Amino acid sequence: MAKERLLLKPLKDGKIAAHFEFDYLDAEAVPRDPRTLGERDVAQHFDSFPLSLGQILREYAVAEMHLTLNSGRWQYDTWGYPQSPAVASGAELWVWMADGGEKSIEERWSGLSNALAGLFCASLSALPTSRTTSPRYAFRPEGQLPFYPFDEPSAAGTNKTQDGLDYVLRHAILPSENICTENLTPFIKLLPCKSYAGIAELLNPHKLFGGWWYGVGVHATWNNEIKNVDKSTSQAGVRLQLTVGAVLDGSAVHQDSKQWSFRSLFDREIQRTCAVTGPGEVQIRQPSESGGSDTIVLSPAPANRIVRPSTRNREQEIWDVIFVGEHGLRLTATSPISLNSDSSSIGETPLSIKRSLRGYDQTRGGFAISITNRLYHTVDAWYVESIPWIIKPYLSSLRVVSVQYLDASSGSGTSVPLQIDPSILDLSHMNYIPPAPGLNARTTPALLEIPIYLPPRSTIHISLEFEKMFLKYTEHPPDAQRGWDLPGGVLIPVDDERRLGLPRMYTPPLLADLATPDFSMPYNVIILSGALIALLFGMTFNMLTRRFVLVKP
Amino acid sequence: MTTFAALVFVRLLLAFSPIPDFLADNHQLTSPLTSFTRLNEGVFLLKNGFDPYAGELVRHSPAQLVIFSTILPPSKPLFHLIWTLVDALAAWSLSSVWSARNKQRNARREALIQASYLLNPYLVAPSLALSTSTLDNALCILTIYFASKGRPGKALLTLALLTQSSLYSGLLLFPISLLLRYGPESRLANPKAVSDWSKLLRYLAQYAAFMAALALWSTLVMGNLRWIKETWGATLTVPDLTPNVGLWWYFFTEMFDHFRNFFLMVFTALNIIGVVPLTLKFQHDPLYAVYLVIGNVAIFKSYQTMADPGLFLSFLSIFPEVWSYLRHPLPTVMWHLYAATLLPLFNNLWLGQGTGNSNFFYAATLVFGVANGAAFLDSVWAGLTVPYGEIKQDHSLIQI
Repeated sequence: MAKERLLLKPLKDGKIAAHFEFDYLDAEAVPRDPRTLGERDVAQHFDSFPLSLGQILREYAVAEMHLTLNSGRWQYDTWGYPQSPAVASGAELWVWMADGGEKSIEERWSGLSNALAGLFCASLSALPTSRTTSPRYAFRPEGQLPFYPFDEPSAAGTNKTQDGLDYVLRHAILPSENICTENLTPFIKLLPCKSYAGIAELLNPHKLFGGWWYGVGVHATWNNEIKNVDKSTSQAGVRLQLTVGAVLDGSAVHQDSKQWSFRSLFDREIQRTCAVTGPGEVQIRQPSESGGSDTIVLSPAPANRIVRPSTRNREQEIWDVIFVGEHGLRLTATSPISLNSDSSSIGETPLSIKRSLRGYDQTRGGFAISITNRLYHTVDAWYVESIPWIIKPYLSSLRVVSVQYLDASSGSGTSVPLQIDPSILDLSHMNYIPPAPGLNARTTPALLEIPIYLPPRSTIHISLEFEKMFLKYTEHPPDAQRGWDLPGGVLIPVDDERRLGLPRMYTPPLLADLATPDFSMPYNVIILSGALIALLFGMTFNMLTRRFVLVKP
Repeated sequence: MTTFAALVFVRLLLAFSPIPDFLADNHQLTSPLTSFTRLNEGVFLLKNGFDPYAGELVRHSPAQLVIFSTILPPSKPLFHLIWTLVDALAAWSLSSVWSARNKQRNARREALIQASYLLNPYLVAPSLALSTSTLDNALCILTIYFASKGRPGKALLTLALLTQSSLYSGLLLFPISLLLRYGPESRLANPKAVSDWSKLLRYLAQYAAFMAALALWSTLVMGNLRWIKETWGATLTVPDLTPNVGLWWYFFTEMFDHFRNFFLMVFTALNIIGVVPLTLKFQHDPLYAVYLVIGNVAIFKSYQTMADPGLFLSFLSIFPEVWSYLRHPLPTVMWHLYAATLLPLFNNLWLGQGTGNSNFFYAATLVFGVANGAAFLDSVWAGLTVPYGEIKQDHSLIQI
């Protein structure tokens, strides 16, 4: 079973966010039990499910996998939440795997990242050793995890439902790996019709990679029961979702209206449908309620309209649906320019996060993290920071510097420095995982998961200081003076029983400026230091071993 | 006594002036092994149930972490008070060592010695930066004080405690044993070979027992053996290449990876190799041997700070009998002034302003090495030439 759709969303600043989704289902399939890894795999009926990717998932017994390659910074403040929350700059890979069998998790994890690196032409080989962390609370599985019971119940096997293989999470983020055409080409090859038919025809690298933000994603999840999500039935089996996202310019302004089309956005149009996936659908987000003055007029006219009712944290969403016909689709959208609509609520996210570096010298630095909660109730969240080994955090310096209330002293927006509630940062539940003793601490990152209780209608400012390491001259990259990329932090609102449904948010990566030695000096240092040591040692030796005599000339 | 009180008061005034804020985490005054910020972090981690040594940031001894996480809460004013009192104790012990050596009391001389410790900028500045080298230096002087008083138990226990936080201080065991056996009296002028070595083995065994007990205690408190790698291991293998005033950091930053282990052995050997010859040569005056071994380690140790040569230089004040035999005291002082001015300047140019590079600071550390070496060599020379008295006009002293 295969499905494809394209979501187009006009943004507050006039740009258009495009989100391609290609869905494949390996129906009734179950991720491989890791204990069978040594044996011959059972035959799989992949159907339209991309074979090369399916084989990788089987080979390393992956239960759930998310790989994204993105470039640029997703601007939550002006663009709102993205269609898929995985918008980390650079490469991000996270995987849930059952632990058991002959092959260790580390072997499978490193094998998987190397296989994916080969499949997508991406430099992921640095992930297993220098970027991997295992968050305890963040990055919960998005699908379900299969239950692999033990063959023979253990002695204390009364509680059989708990008596299966354990699952482990591996998460890695590589901020400096950016997507380009060499990653998109193998990605398109996974699609059944490549880019010859269906909405994939619009995947024009020249336009996509000229966007303000762009990225591809590969998400493999497993579901065991039939679920009714968004009124679209999803079947049991391994589900693979390939996504392409881009924020593009393409609106042309004519007097009192602005117009955009497939041609202006992608420089292509859909000519035919892909026979394998059937007619794809294109959804266009309408800015506000139907009948409003700024409604987008579509040509051809939409066949259907989906209305997602507003919830406590999200406003109502209206999507117009157009199906790709037999002879393709040439979409044109026209909307009136309303000068006073830029304060519209599309774009303002309930939460927002900013992270910046403090300190100017090359020995110490700090993170200044500001998190705003625009909701009228407290939000529990995890802030996750994967800290590369080149900086060492001082956990004792982690604290809330100030809390600003959004509604206080209206207008100026200045802060009322009230007493800081100590319960905002729950340090007793903080999860800090330094590099494990067995691993090489000169490459392994540390992981920091901080529970935060965001007070309603306020901005909290958190500060964390760190020590910058001094590296050996061979440990510096070739462009040492450029600095080191620090991966973005992740804010994950906790999905408690209130079902906030807020997606996770990423901060952009930062550049840490590390002190460098003089790379031309090795021989000089050996000579100069050696000379001084020889001088001191020689003179001491001389004085201690030779006898003193008084002479009269 | 009033002078001493005045000195301590001045020291206390300095601690509560704004000066300490500028000195914290200064690379000249604190090293990764002695930095207050890292001690504070270790205490925080220990209190919150994390393994303080797991992050490879904290390298203080388990004893220090435990003391500051249980008995003494880490608050800056309290720490400044403690550090001042520890300095005062060290200064008082140093002057008492002089009294023990000369079997007399002389208020003026003792005040001078105390001043040389409490006003030595190489010691005051690290102390104001709350570097734990202040504690190490005080333990070192206490060891010598107990040894001069002929108390082997206390002396060896203090030395074992000191070795916990400063591994190289274990090298003092040999001269300290001699000091325990033969006392601190000045015999520089008439050297005589020591005949009886029998008690040394007993001291060695006692020290080993203290060390084993402390190591066992540390392991039990920490729950694993990781502290050995992170404290003593760091001293020997320099995993943290934060700049300091010593010779190791830039050498091992620039060292080719395949020679690293070899040169680690060479540099460690430089510390060890001087102990036996210096002690044997000065076996007639073990206190002077202790002084020279401290000087030797202060030049060649890893993670050196200004407090190490500072202790050596302040120690010179209890040996007035050798002052007149120093060959080049003035150039030594000039070298020290030169290095002490250039070190903070070049460190800031490189790491703060970004207008200089690492070679600037490295050059200044070489000058500092020359200054320390000059002071050490001159002390060896003076100690060896005391027996020959003042050289007459038509004579000259040569080595054959």
